[in-house]
Amino acid sequence: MVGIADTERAVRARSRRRAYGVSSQSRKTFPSWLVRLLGPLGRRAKEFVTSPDPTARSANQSSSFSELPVELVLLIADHLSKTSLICLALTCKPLHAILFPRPAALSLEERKTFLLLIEKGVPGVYYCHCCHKLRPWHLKLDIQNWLGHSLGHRNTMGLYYSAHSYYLIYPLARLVTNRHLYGPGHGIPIRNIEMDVRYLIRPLNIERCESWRARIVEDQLFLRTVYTVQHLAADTQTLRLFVDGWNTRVCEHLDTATNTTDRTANLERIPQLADLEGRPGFVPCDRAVTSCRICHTDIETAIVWRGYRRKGWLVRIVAYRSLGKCRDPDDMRAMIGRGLRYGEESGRRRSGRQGIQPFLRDRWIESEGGEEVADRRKCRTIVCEDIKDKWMFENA
Amino acid sequence: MSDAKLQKILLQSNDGVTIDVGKSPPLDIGFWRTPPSLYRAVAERSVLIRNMLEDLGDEGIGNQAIPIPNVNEAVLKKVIEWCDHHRNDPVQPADEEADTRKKTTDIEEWDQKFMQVDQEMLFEVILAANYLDIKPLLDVGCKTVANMIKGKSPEEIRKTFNITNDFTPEEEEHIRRENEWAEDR
Repeated sequence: MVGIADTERAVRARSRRRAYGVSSQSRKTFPSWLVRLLGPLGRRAKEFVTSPDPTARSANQSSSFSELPVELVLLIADHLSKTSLICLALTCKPLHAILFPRPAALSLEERKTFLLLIEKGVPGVYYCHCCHKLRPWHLKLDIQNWLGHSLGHRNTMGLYYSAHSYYLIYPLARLVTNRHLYGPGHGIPIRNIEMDVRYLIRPLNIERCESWRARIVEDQLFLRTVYTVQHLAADTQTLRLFVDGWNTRVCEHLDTATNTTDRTANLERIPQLADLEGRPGFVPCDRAVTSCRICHTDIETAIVWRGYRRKGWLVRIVAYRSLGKCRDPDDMRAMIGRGLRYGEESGRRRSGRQGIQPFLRDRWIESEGGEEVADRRKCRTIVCEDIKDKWMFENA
Repeated sequence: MSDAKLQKILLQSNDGVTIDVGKSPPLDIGFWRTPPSLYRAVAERSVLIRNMLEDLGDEGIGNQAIPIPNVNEAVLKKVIEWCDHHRNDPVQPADEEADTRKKTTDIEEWDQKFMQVDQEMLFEVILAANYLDIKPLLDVGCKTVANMIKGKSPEEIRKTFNITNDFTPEEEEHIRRENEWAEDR
Protein backbone atom coordinates (compact mmCIF):
# COMPACT_ATOMS: atom_id res chain seq x y z
CA MET A 1 0.00 0.00 0.00
CA VAL A 2 2.98 2.21 -0.55
CA GLY A 3 1.23 3.97 -3.39
CA ILE A 4 -1.51 5.38 -1.26
CA ALA A 5 0.73 6.25 1.64
CA ASP A 6 3.09 8.52 -0.19
CA THR A 7 0.97 9.50 -3.12
CA GLU A 8 0.03 12.79 -1.59
CA ARG A 9 3.43 14.13 -2.53
CA ALA A 10 3.55 12.34 -5.83
CA VAL A 11 0.14 13.62 -6.83
CA ARG A 12 1.14 17.16 -6.07
CA ALA A 13 4.33 16.76 -8.02
CA ARG A 14 2.49 15.23 -10.92
CA SER A 15 -0.15 17.91 -11.06
CA ARG A 16 2.55 20.53 -10.94
CA ARG A 17 4.25 18.82 -13.79
CA ARG A 18 1.02 18.69 -15.67
CA ALA A 19 0.44 22.38 -15.16
CA TYR A 20 3.82 23.07 -16.68
CA GLY A 21 3.53 19.91 -18.67
CA VAL A 22 4.74 21.31 -21.94
CA SER A 23 7.86 22.87 -20.64
CA SER A 24 8.77 19.86 -18.55
CA GLN A 25 8.26 17.62 -21.55
CA SER A 26 10.14 19.77 -24.03
CA ARG A 27 12.92 19.99 -21.49
CA LYS A 28 13.43 16.31 -22.14
CA THR A 29 14.11 16.69 -25.84
CA PHE A 30 17.60 18.00 -26.00
CA PRO A 31 18.49 18.96 -29.55
CA SER A 32 21.36 16.92 -30.97
CA TRP A 33 22.99 19.91 -32.68
CA LEU A 34 23.39 21.50 -29.27
CA VAL A 35 25.17 18.40 -28.01
CA ARG A 36 27.53 18.51 -30.94
CA LEU A 37 28.15 22.18 -30.41
CA LEU A 38 28.94 21.89 -26.74
CA GLY A 39 31.00 18.68 -26.92
CA PRO A 40 31.52 16.74 -23.66
CA LEU A 41 29.74 19.40 -21.71
CA GLY A 42 26.78 19.04 -24.05
CA ARG A 43 26.62 15.29 -23.49
CA ARG A 44 26.57 15.82 -19.75
CA ALA A 45 23.93 18.49 -20.14
CA LYS A 46 21.85 16.11 -22.23
CA GLU A 47 22.20 13.35 -19.66
CA PHE A 48 21.12 15.73 -16.98
CA VAL A 49 18.18 17.04 -18.89
CA THR A 50 16.89 13.72 -20.11
CA SER A 51 17.56 11.77 -16.92
CA PRO A 52 14.46 9.90 -15.79
CA ASP A 53 11.92 11.78 -13.79
CA PRO A 54 12.12 10.52 -10.19
CA THR A 55 8.35 10.23 -9.97
CA ALA A 56 8.09 8.41 -13.30
CA ARG A 57 7.13 4.79 -13.17
CA SER A 58 9.84 2.41 -14.19
CA ALA A 59 9.16 -0.06 -16.96
CA ASN A 60 9.26 -3.21 -14.86
CA GLN A 61 7.13 -1.99 -11.97
CA SER A 62 3.97 -4.04 -11.77
CA SER A 63 0.64 -2.40 -11.18
CA SER A 64 -2.01 -3.48 -8.78
CA PHE A 65 -4.99 -1.99 -7.09
CA SER A 66 -3.07 -1.20 -3.93
CA GLU A 67 -0.60 0.92 -5.84
CA LEU A 68 -3.14 3.22 -7.41
CA PRO A 69 -2.86 6.82 -6.30
CA VAL A 70 -5.56 8.18 -4.04
CA GLU A 71 -7.13 10.32 -6.75
CA LEU A 72 -7.73 7.27 -8.91
CA VAL A 73 -9.13 5.23 -6.03
CA LEU A 74 -11.58 8.06 -5.41
CA LEU A 75 -12.47 8.16 -9.11
CA ILE A 76 -13.26 4.46 -9.02
CA ALA A 77 -15.22 4.92 -5.80
CA ASP A 78 -17.40 7.44 -7.63
CA HIS A 79 -18.81 4.60 -9.69
CA LEU A 80 -19.59 2.34 -6.73
CA SER A 81 -22.80 1.93 -4.84
CA LYS A 82 -22.78 2.58 -1.12
CA THR A 83 -22.65 -1.09 -0.25
CA SER A 84 -19.79 -1.84 -2.63
CA LEU A 85 -17.97 1.19 -1.33
CA ILE A 86 -18.13 -0.08 2.24
CA CYS A 87 -17.03 -3.53 1.11
CA LEU A 88 -14.04 -2.00 -0.62
CA ALA A 89 -13.25 0.10 2.44
CA LEU A 90 -13.25 -2.99 4.61
CA THR A 91 -10.58 -4.77 2.60
CA CYS A 92 -7.61 -3.07 4.22
CA LYS A 93 -6.71 -0.18 6.51
CA PRO A 94 -5.43 2.34 3.95
CA LEU A 95 -8.57 1.98 1.85
CA HIS A 96 -10.66 2.24 4.99
CA ALA A 97 -8.88 5.47 5.83
CA ILE A 98 -9.41 6.92 2.35
CA LEU A 99 -12.96 5.88 1.68
CA PHE A 100 -14.33 6.27 5.21
CA PRO A 101 -17.72 4.61 4.89
CA ARG A 102 -20.68 6.21 6.53
CA PRO A 103 -22.94 3.30 7.34
CA ALA A 104 -25.61 5.41 8.95
CA ALA A 105 -26.61 6.52 5.48
CA LEU A 106 -27.48 2.98 4.39
CA SER A 107 -31.12 2.26 3.74
CA LEU A 108 -32.59 -0.96 5.08
CA GLU A 109 -32.37 -2.66 1.71
CA GLU A 110 -28.75 -1.57 1.25
CA ARG A 111 -27.95 -2.68 4.75
CA LYS A 112 -29.38 -6.09 3.99
CA THR A 113 -27.41 -6.46 0.76
CA PHE A 114 -24.28 -5.34 2.53
CA LEU A 115 -24.61 -7.57 5.57
CA LEU A 116 -25.44 -10.56 3.39
CA LEU A 117 -22.12 -9.94 1.63
CA ILE A 118 -20.31 -9.68 4.95
CA GLU A 119 -21.95 -12.87 6.19
CA LYS A 120 -20.20 -14.77 3.40
CA GLY A 121 -16.77 -13.77 4.62
CA VAL A 122 -17.13 -13.93 8.37
CA PRO A 123 -17.36 -17.34 9.95
CA GLY A 124 -19.40 -17.76 13.11
CA VAL A 125 -22.15 -15.32 12.30
CA TYR A 126 -25.38 -15.39 10.36
CA TYR A 127 -27.62 -12.65 9.14
CA CYS A 128 -30.86 -12.23 11.03
CA HIS A 129 -33.60 -11.06 8.70
CA CYS A 130 -35.56 -9.63 11.57
CA CYS A 131 -33.16 -7.38 13.44
CA HIS A 132 -30.95 -6.81 10.34
CA LYS A 133 -27.77 -7.68 12.14
CA LEU A 134 -25.16 -10.36 12.11
CA ARG A 135 -25.63 -12.73 14.98
CA PRO A 136 -23.28 -15.29 16.43
CA TRP A 137 -24.20 -18.95 16.45
CA HIS A 138 -22.57 -22.03 17.91
CA LEU A 139 -22.20 -25.59 16.78
CA LYS A 140 -24.39 -26.97 19.52
CA LEU A 141 -27.43 -25.51 17.85
CA ASP A 142 -29.78 -28.14 16.65
CA ILE A 143 -33.40 -28.84 16.21
CA GLN A 144 -33.79 -29.94 19.82
CA ASN A 145 -32.33 -26.94 21.55
CA TRP A 146 -32.78 -23.79 19.61
CA LEU A 147 -32.59 -21.27 22.38
CA GLY A 148 -31.51 -18.45 20.15
CA HIS A 149 -32.94 -15.02 20.25
CA SER A 150 -34.98 -15.69 17.15
CA LEU A 151 -37.78 -17.21 19.16
CA GLY A 152 -38.64 -13.65 20.05
CA HIS A 153 -38.87 -12.65 16.40
CA ARG A 154 -42.33 -13.52 15.28
CA ASN A 155 -42.24 -12.05 11.83
CA THR A 156 -39.34 -13.70 10.15
CA MET A 157 -39.20 -17.15 11.57
CA GLY A 158 -40.94 -18.92 8.74
CA LEU A 159 -41.59 -21.66 11.17
CA TYR A 160 -41.97 -25.12 9.78
CA TYR A 161 -43.47 -27.58 12.12
CA SER A 162 -44.96 -30.99 12.44
CA ALA A 163 -47.71 -31.93 14.84
CA HIS A 164 -45.66 -31.25 17.88
CA SER A 165 -42.31 -32.90 17.81
CA TYR A 166 -40.40 -31.11 15.10
CA TYR A 167 -40.08 -27.54 14.10
CA LEU A 168 -37.52 -25.95 11.91
CA ILE A 169 -37.02 -22.27 12.46
CA TYR A 170 -35.77 -20.27 9.50
CA PRO A 171 -32.36 -19.34 11.02
CA LEU A 172 -31.52 -23.02 11.41
CA ALA A 173 -32.41 -23.71 7.80
CA ARG A 174 -30.28 -20.72 6.84
CA LEU A 175 -27.33 -21.97 8.87
CA VAL A 176 -27.51 -25.37 7.21
CA THR A 177 -27.57 -23.89 3.72
CA ASN A 178 -24.87 -21.37 4.67
CA ARG A 179 -22.60 -24.25 5.58
CA HIS A 180 -23.34 -25.86 2.26
CA LEU A 181 -22.66 -22.67 0.33
CA TYR A 182 -19.83 -20.99 2.25
CA GLY A 183 -18.07 -23.78 4.09
CA PRO A 184 -17.96 -25.46 7.49
CA GLY A 185 -17.19 -22.27 9.43
CA HIS A 186 -20.43 -20.73 8.31
CA GLY A 187 -23.14 -22.99 9.61
CA ILE A 188 -24.28 -26.06 11.40
CA PRO A 189 -24.00 -29.58 9.99
CA ILE A 190 -27.08 -30.92 8.32
CA ARG A 191 -27.47 -33.67 10.89
CA ASN A 192 -28.26 -31.02 13.49
CA ILE A 193 -31.66 -30.57 11.95
CA GLU A 194 -32.33 -34.28 11.68
CA MET A 195 -34.23 -36.14 14.34
CA ASP A 196 -35.68 -39.48 15.27
CA VAL A 197 -38.56 -39.80 17.66
CA ARG A 198 -40.35 -42.88 18.78
CA TYR A 199 -43.53 -42.58 20.75
CA LEU A 200 -44.93 -45.52 22.53
CA ILE A 201 -48.48 -44.88 23.57
CA ARG A 202 -49.03 -47.27 26.44
CA PRO A 203 -52.81 -47.05 26.91
CA LEU A 204 -53.41 -47.91 23.27
CA ASN A 205 -50.33 -50.06 22.82
CA ILE A 206 -49.48 -48.14 19.69
CA GLU A 207 -46.04 -47.31 18.41
CA ARG A 208 -45.59 -44.24 16.33
CA CYS A 209 -42.20 -43.22 14.86
CA GLU A 210 -41.04 -40.14 13.12
CA SER A 211 -37.75 -39.87 11.43
CA TRP A 212 -36.66 -36.57 9.94
CA ARG A 213 -33.89 -36.41 7.41
CA ALA A 214 -32.49 -33.43 5.59
CA ARG A 215 -30.45 -33.20 2.46
CA ILE A 216 -29.32 -30.52 0.09
CA VAL A 217 -30.22 -31.26 -3.50
CA GLU A 218 -29.17 -28.70 -6.09
CA ASP A 219 -28.68 -26.06 -3.37
CA GLN A 220 -32.18 -26.62 -2.09
CA LEU A 221 -32.91 -27.92 1.35
CA PHE A 222 -35.01 -31.07 1.26
CA LEU A 223 -36.70 -32.62 4.26
CA ARG A 224 -37.96 -36.16 4.33
CA THR A 225 -40.08 -37.50 7.13
CA VAL A 226 -41.05 -41.09 7.62
CA TYR A 227 -44.06 -41.54 9.87
CA THR A 228 -44.88 -45.10 10.85
CA VAL A 229 -47.79 -46.21 13.00
CA GLN A 230 -48.54 -49.71 14.15
CA HIS A 231 -50.41 -51.48 16.91
CA LEU A 232 -48.05 -53.67 18.80
CA ALA A 233 -50.67 -56.34 19.34
CA ALA A 234 -52.09 -56.14 15.81
CA ASP A 235 -55.42 -54.71 16.94
CA THR A 236 -56.91 -53.24 13.77
CA GLN A 237 -59.75 -51.41 15.47
CA THR A 238 -57.55 -49.48 17.89
CA LEU A 239 -55.14 -48.60 15.11
CA ARG A 240 -58.03 -47.35 13.00
CA LEU A 241 -59.26 -45.25 15.90
CA PHE A 242 -55.82 -43.86 16.44
CA VAL A 243 -55.21 -42.99 12.79
CA ASP A 244 -58.55 -41.22 12.55
CA GLY A 245 -57.73 -39.04 15.48
CA TRP A 246 -54.06 -38.68 14.75
CA ASN A 247 -53.53 -35.06 13.93
CA THR A 248 -50.35 -34.84 11.98
CA ARG A 249 -50.06 -32.17 9.44
CA VAL A 250 -47.80 -33.70 6.90
CA CYS A 251 -47.69 -30.34 5.26
CA GLU A 252 -49.66 -27.19 5.79
CA HIS A 253 -52.45 -28.53 3.65
CA LEU A 254 -52.61 -32.28 4.18
CA ASP A 255 -53.49 -33.97 7.41
CA THR A 256 -53.99 -37.49 8.62
CA ALA A 257 -57.07 -37.13 10.80
CA THR A 258 -60.67 -37.44 9.60
CA ASN A 259 -62.03 -34.30 11.06
CA THR A 260 -59.57 -32.00 9.41
CA THR A 261 -61.40 -31.33 6.19
CA ASP A 262 -64.22 -29.44 7.80
CA ARG A 263 -62.04 -27.66 10.31
CA THR A 264 -60.52 -25.21 7.91
CA ALA A 265 -60.93 -24.81 4.24
CA ASN A 266 -57.29 -25.29 3.31
CA LEU A 267 -56.79 -28.70 4.87
CA GLU A 268 -57.40 -32.01 3.22
CA ARG A 269 -57.04 -35.54 4.37
CA ILE A 270 -54.52 -37.84 2.75
CA PRO A 271 -56.84 -39.83 0.48
CA GLN A 272 -55.20 -43.19 1.07
CA LEU A 273 -56.19 -43.12 4.72
CA ALA A 274 -59.92 -43.29 3.98
CA ASP A 275 -61.73 -46.12 5.77
CA LEU A 276 -63.78 -48.98 4.34
CA GLU A 277 -67.22 -47.37 4.55
CA GLY A 278 -67.74 -47.80 8.25
CA ARG A 279 -66.01 -51.12 8.71
CA PRO A 280 -62.79 -50.97 10.67
CA GLY A 281 -59.76 -51.65 8.57
CA PHE A 282 -57.61 -50.16 5.89
CA VAL A 283 -57.38 -50.14 2.15
CA PRO A 284 -53.99 -51.58 1.44
CA CYS A 285 -51.76 -49.61 -0.82
CA ASP A 286 -48.16 -49.71 -1.81
CA ARG A 287 -46.33 -46.43 -1.99
CA ALA A 288 -49.15 -44.47 -3.47
CA VAL A 289 -48.04 -40.94 -4.22
CA THR A 290 -50.01 -37.84 -3.45
CA SER A 291 -48.67 -34.40 -4.13
CA CYS A 292 -49.83 -31.37 -2.28
CA ARG A 293 -51.64 -29.10 -4.65
CA ILE A 294 -50.33 -26.00 -2.98
CA CYS A 295 -46.91 -26.43 -1.50
CA HIS A 296 -43.79 -28.34 -2.39
CA THR A 297 -44.59 -31.61 -0.70
CA ASP A 298 -44.92 -35.13 -2.04
CA ILE A 299 -46.42 -37.84 0.11
CA GLU A 300 -45.92 -41.54 -0.34
CA THR A 301 -48.32 -43.71 1.58
CA ALA A 302 -47.95 -47.41 2.21
CA ILE A 303 -50.54 -49.38 4.17
CA VAL A 304 -49.58 -53.01 4.40
CA TRP A 305 -50.77 -56.06 6.27
CA ARG A 306 -47.81 -57.87 7.69
CA GLY A 307 -48.71 -61.46 8.08
CA TYR A 308 -45.60 -63.24 9.07
CA ARG A 309 -44.29 -62.28 12.51
CA ARG A 310 -45.68 -59.01 13.74
CA LYS A 311 -49.14 -59.32 12.49
CA GLY A 312 -51.33 -56.36 11.81
CA TRP A 313 -51.42 -53.23 9.74
CA LEU A 314 -48.57 -50.88 9.31
CA VAL A 315 -49.21 -47.37 8.12
CA ARG A 316 -46.18 -45.70 6.69
CA ILE A 317 -46.26 -42.18 5.33
CA VAL A 318 -43.20 -40.63 3.76
CA ALA A 319 -43.25 -36.92 3.10
CA TYR A 320 -40.74 -35.26 0.83
CA ARG A 321 -40.54 -31.51 1.09
CA SER A 322 -38.48 -28.84 -0.51
CA LEU A 323 -37.81 -25.76 1.54
CA GLY A 324 -36.07 -24.01 -1.31
CA LYS A 325 -32.71 -22.34 -1.09
CA CYS A 326 -33.51 -20.81 2.30
CA ARG A 327 -31.95 -17.49 1.35
CA ASP A 328 -34.91 -15.53 2.63
CA PRO A 329 -37.65 -16.30 5.17
CA ASP A 330 -40.27 -15.20 2.68
CA ASP A 331 -38.98 -17.67 0.10
CA MET A 332 -39.18 -20.45 2.63
CA ARG A 333 -42.65 -19.41 3.63
CA ALA A 334 -43.71 -19.50 0.00
CA MET A 335 -42.20 -22.95 -0.44
CA ILE A 336 -44.12 -24.43 2.46
CA GLY A 337 -47.22 -22.58 1.32
CA ARG A 338 -47.96 -21.01 4.65
CA GLY A 339 -51.26 -19.26 4.66
CA LEU A 340 -52.11 -20.31 1.12
CA ARG A 341 -55.50 -21.85 0.44
CA TYR A 342 -56.70 -23.93 -2.44
CA GLY A 343 -57.39 -21.72 -5.36
CA GLU A 344 -54.67 -19.26 -4.52
CA GLU A 345 -51.53 -18.82 -6.52
CA SER A 346 -48.38 -20.61 -5.56
CA GLY A 347 -45.31 -22.00 -7.24
CA ARG A 348 -46.67 -25.49 -7.49
CA ARG A 349 -50.22 -25.03 -8.64
CA ARG A 350 -51.41 -27.01 -11.58
CA SER A 351 -54.90 -27.57 -12.88
CA GLY A 352 -55.51 -30.70 -10.87
CA ARG A 353 -53.89 -33.38 -8.84
CA GLN A 354 -53.05 -35.39 -11.96
CA GLY A 355 -51.03 -32.54 -13.33
CA ILE A 356 -48.44 -32.62 -10.55
CA GLN A 357 -45.49 -34.89 -10.97
CA PRO A 358 -43.91 -36.18 -7.77
CA PHE A 359 -40.60 -34.66 -8.78
CA LEU A 360 -39.59 -33.91 -5.21
CA ARG A 361 -39.62 -37.58 -4.31
CA ASP A 362 -37.75 -38.45 -7.49
CA ARG A 363 -35.08 -35.87 -6.82
CA TRP A 364 -34.59 -37.07 -3.29
CA ILE A 365 -34.27 -40.66 -4.44
CA GLU A 366 -31.89 -39.70 -7.25
CA SER A 367 -29.64 -37.94 -4.77
CA GLU A 368 -29.59 -40.99 -2.48
CA GLY A 369 -26.07 -41.85 -1.48
CA GLY A 370 -25.01 -38.22 -1.50
CA GLU A 371 -22.47 -36.77 0.83
CA GLU A 372 -24.85 -36.25 3.75
CA VAL A 373 -25.53 -39.91 4.38
CA ALA A 374 -22.58 -40.62 6.64
CA ASP A 375 -23.60 -39.25 10.02
CA ARG A 376 -27.12 -40.55 10.20
CA ARG A 377 -26.60 -42.69 13.26
CA LYS A 378 -25.67 -39.73 15.42
CA CYS A 379 -29.25 -38.52 15.40
CA ARG A 380 -30.85 -38.64 18.78
CA THR A 381 -33.67 -40.97 19.52
CA ILE A 382 -36.18 -39.86 22.06
CA VAL A 383 -38.27 -42.57 23.51
CA CYS A 384 -41.48 -41.35 24.97
CA GLU A 385 -43.46 -43.68 27.11
CA ASP A 386 -46.90 -43.12 28.43
CA ILE A 387 -47.76 -39.88 26.73
CA LYS A 388 -51.12 -38.48 27.73
CA ASP A 389 -50.65 -35.51 25.53
CA LYS A 390 -53.83 -34.14 24.08
CA TRP A 391 -51.96 -33.63 20.83
CA MET A 392 -51.53 -37.31 20.60
CA PHE A 393 -55.04 -38.53 20.60
CA GLU A 394 -57.56 -35.83 20.70
CA ASN A 395 -60.30 -38.12 19.50
CA ALA A 396 -59.12 -41.53 20.46
CA MET B 1 -1.52 24.09 -40.73
CA SER B 2 -2.66 21.60 -43.35
CA ASP B 3 0.93 20.52 -43.81
CA ALA B 4 1.26 20.03 -40.14
CA LYS B 5 -1.66 17.65 -40.16
CA LEU B 6 0.19 15.39 -42.51
CA GLN B 7 3.05 15.23 -40.17
CA LYS B 8 3.82 12.06 -38.30
CA ILE B 9 3.64 12.07 -34.58
CA LEU B 10 6.17 9.97 -32.75
CA LEU B 11 5.80 8.98 -29.15
CA GLN B 12 8.58 7.48 -27.10
CA SER B 13 7.69 5.09 -24.30
CA ASN B 14 9.74 4.88 -21.13
CA ASP B 15 11.48 1.72 -22.33
CA GLY B 16 12.89 3.68 -25.22
CA VAL B 17 10.66 2.43 -28.02
CA THR B 18 9.48 5.01 -30.50
CA ILE B 19 5.95 4.48 -31.69
CA ASP B 20 4.55 6.17 -34.75
CA VAL B 21 0.97 7.05 -33.99
CA GLY B 22 0.19 6.30 -37.61
CA LYS B 23 2.01 3.00 -37.61
CA SER B 24 1.03 1.29 -34.44
CA PRO B 25 -0.17 -2.23 -35.18
CA PRO B 26 -3.90 -1.81 -34.61
CA LEU B 27 -4.03 0.76 -37.36
CA ASP B 28 -2.35 -1.48 -39.88
CA ILE B 29 -4.71 -4.40 -39.65
CA GLY B 30 -6.75 -5.20 -42.76
CA PHE B 31 -7.29 -2.78 -45.58
CA TRP B 32 -7.87 0.17 -43.33
CA ARG B 33 -5.02 2.52 -42.87
CA THR B 34 -5.39 5.67 -40.93
CA PRO B 35 -4.90 8.58 -43.29
CA PRO B 36 -2.11 10.88 -42.08
CA SER B 37 -4.53 13.73 -41.47
CA LEU B 38 -5.99 11.72 -38.66
CA TYR B 39 -2.77 11.17 -36.79
CA ARG B 40 -3.26 14.35 -35.00
CA ALA B 41 -6.88 13.60 -34.12
CA VAL B 42 -5.72 10.35 -32.59
CA ALA B 43 -2.89 11.88 -30.63
CA GLU B 44 -5.02 14.75 -29.51
CA ARG B 45 -7.35 12.53 -27.54
CA SER B 46 -4.73 13.13 -24.93
CA VAL B 47 -4.99 16.59 -23.45
CA LEU B 48 -1.37 16.41 -22.43
CA ILE B 49 -0.18 15.74 -25.98
CA ARG B 50 -2.57 18.28 -27.46
CA ASN B 51 -1.28 21.02 -25.20
CA MET B 52 2.23 20.01 -25.97
CA LEU B 53 1.68 20.08 -29.73
CA GLU B 54 0.04 23.47 -29.51
CA ASP B 55 2.85 24.74 -27.41
CA LEU B 56 5.66 23.41 -29.47
CA GLY B 57 4.14 24.45 -32.73
CA ASP B 58 4.70 22.54 -35.96
CA GLU B 59 8.38 23.27 -36.17
CA GLY B 60 8.90 22.21 -32.60
CA ILE B 61 7.82 18.70 -33.30
CA GLY B 62 10.02 18.10 -36.26
CA ASN B 63 11.01 14.46 -36.39
CA GLN B 64 11.51 14.28 -32.68
CA ALA B 65 9.70 11.70 -30.65
CA ILE B 66 7.67 12.99 -27.74
CA PRO B 67 8.82 11.12 -24.64
CA ILE B 68 6.11 9.67 -22.46
CA PRO B 69 8.16 8.77 -19.41
CA ASN B 70 5.40 7.15 -17.37
CA VAL B 71 4.17 4.65 -19.94
CA ASN B 72 5.79 1.58 -21.43
CA GLU B 73 5.51 0.35 -24.98
CA ALA B 74 2.73 -2.22 -24.58
CA VAL B 75 0.53 0.18 -22.64
CA LEU B 76 1.21 3.05 -25.00
CA LYS B 77 0.18 0.91 -27.97
CA LYS B 78 -2.98 -0.07 -26.13
CA VAL B 79 -3.77 3.55 -25.39
CA ILE B 80 -3.17 4.54 -29.02
CA GLU B 81 -5.48 1.73 -30.09
CA TRP B 82 -8.19 3.22 -27.93
CA CYS B 83 -7.52 6.74 -29.16
CA ASP B 84 -7.71 5.54 -32.74
CA HIS B 85 -11.09 3.93 -32.23
CA HIS B 86 -12.43 6.97 -30.45
CA ARG B 87 -10.74 9.64 -32.61
CA ASN B 88 -14.06 10.97 -33.87
CA ASP B 89 -15.78 11.18 -30.51
CA PRO B 90 -16.87 14.67 -29.57
CA VAL B 91 -14.55 16.19 -27.04
CA GLN B 92 -16.31 16.49 -23.72
CA PRO B 93 -16.21 19.92 -22.21
CA ALA B 94 -14.17 19.86 -19.06
CA ASP B 95 -15.90 19.43 -15.71
CA GLU B 96 -19.34 19.26 -17.18
CA GLU B 97 -19.52 15.51 -17.37
CA ALA B 98 -19.36 15.13 -13.61
CA ASP B 99 -23.05 14.48 -13.11
CA THR B 100 -23.76 12.30 -16.10
CA ARG B 101 -20.92 9.85 -15.83
CA LYS B 102 -21.09 9.24 -12.12
CA LYS B 103 -22.96 6.27 -10.70
CA THR B 104 -23.43 4.67 -14.09
CA THR B 105 -21.24 1.75 -14.93
CA ASP B 106 -22.45 1.06 -18.44
CA ILE B 107 -19.60 0.57 -20.81
CA GLU B 108 -20.05 0.41 -24.52
CA GLU B 109 -19.34 -2.92 -26.14
CA TRP B 110 -16.09 -2.07 -27.90
CA ASP B 111 -14.65 -0.61 -24.72
CA GLN B 112 -15.68 -3.68 -22.75
CA LYS B 113 -13.77 -5.87 -25.16
CA PHE B 114 -10.89 -3.45 -25.12
CA MET B 115 -10.70 -3.70 -21.35
CA GLN B 116 -10.63 -7.48 -21.30
CA VAL B 117 -6.97 -7.59 -20.35
CA ASP B 118 -5.11 -8.78 -17.31
CA GLN B 119 -5.28 -6.63 -14.22
CA GLU B 120 -1.77 -5.29 -14.47
CA MET B 121 -2.48 -3.99 -17.96
CA LEU B 122 -5.80 -2.58 -16.83
CA PHE B 123 -4.21 -0.54 -14.05
CA GLU B 124 -1.37 0.51 -16.33
CA VAL B 125 -3.90 1.79 -18.84
CA ILE B 126 -5.72 3.69 -16.10
CA LEU B 127 -2.47 5.22 -14.89
CA ALA B 128 -1.47 6.10 -18.44
CA ALA B 129 -4.87 7.63 -19.14
CA ASN B 130 -4.53 9.66 -15.99
CA TYR B 131 -1.06 10.78 -16.91
CA LEU B 132 -1.86 11.57 -20.53
CA ASP B 133 -5.09 13.19 -19.40
CA ILE B 134 -7.50 11.16 -21.51
CA LYS B 135 -10.69 11.61 -19.50
CA PRO B 136 -12.99 9.20 -21.36
CA LEU B 137 -10.44 6.38 -21.27
CA LEU B 138 -9.82 7.00 -17.60
CA ASP B 139 -13.54 6.82 -17.08
CA VAL B 140 -13.87 3.53 -18.92
CA GLY B 141 -11.02 2.11 -16.87
CA CYS B 142 -12.51 3.22 -13.57
CA LYS B 143 -15.89 1.80 -14.56
CA THR B 144 -14.28 -1.51 -15.43
CA VAL B 145 -12.64 -1.68 -12.02
CA ALA B 146 -15.90 -0.62 -10.35
CA ASN B 147 -17.69 -3.45 -12.12
CA MET B 148 -15.11 -5.87 -10.79
CA ILE B 149 -15.84 -4.68 -7.26
CA LYS B 150 -19.63 -4.65 -7.56
CA GLY B 151 -21.52 -7.31 -5.64
CA LYS B 152 -18.42 -8.74 -4.03
CA SER B 153 -17.75 -9.22 -0.35
CA PRO B 154 -14.59 -7.66 1.12
CA GLU B 155 -12.96 -11.07 1.08
CA GLU B 156 -13.76 -11.57 -2.59
CA ILE B 157 -12.46 -8.10 -3.41
CA ARG B 158 -9.21 -8.91 -1.62
CA LYS B 159 -8.89 -12.06 -3.66
CA THR B 160 -9.68 -10.31 -6.90
CA PHE B 161 -7.12 -7.55 -6.46
CA ASN B 162 -4.64 -9.41 -4.31
CA ILE B 163 -5.02 -7.03 -1.40
CA THR B 164 -3.57 -8.10 1.93
CA ASN B 165 -5.93 -7.85 4.85
CA ASP B 166 -4.16 -5.86 7.55
CA PHE B 167 -7.12 -5.77 9.93
CA THR B 168 -6.90 -8.06 12.91
CA PRO B 169 -10.05 -10.10 13.60
CA GLU B 170 -10.60 -7.94 16.70
CA GLU B 171 -10.45 -4.76 14.66
CA GLU B 172 -12.87 -6.19 12.13
CA GLU B 173 -15.26 -7.10 14.88
CA HIS B 174 -14.85 -3.70 16.44
CA ILE B 175 -15.83 -2.03 13.17
CA ARG B 176 -18.84 -4.29 12.87
CA ARG B 177 -19.99 -3.61 16.39
CA GLU B 178 -19.28 0.09 16.23
CA ASN B 179 -21.54 0.40 13.22
CA GLU B 180 -24.17 -1.85 14.76
CA TRP B 181 -23.84 -4.40 12.01
CA ALA B 182 -23.30 -7.22 14.44
CA GLU B 183 -24.64 -8.23 17.78
CA ASP B 184 -22.34 -8.43 20.79
CA ARG B 185 -21.25 -11.89 21.64
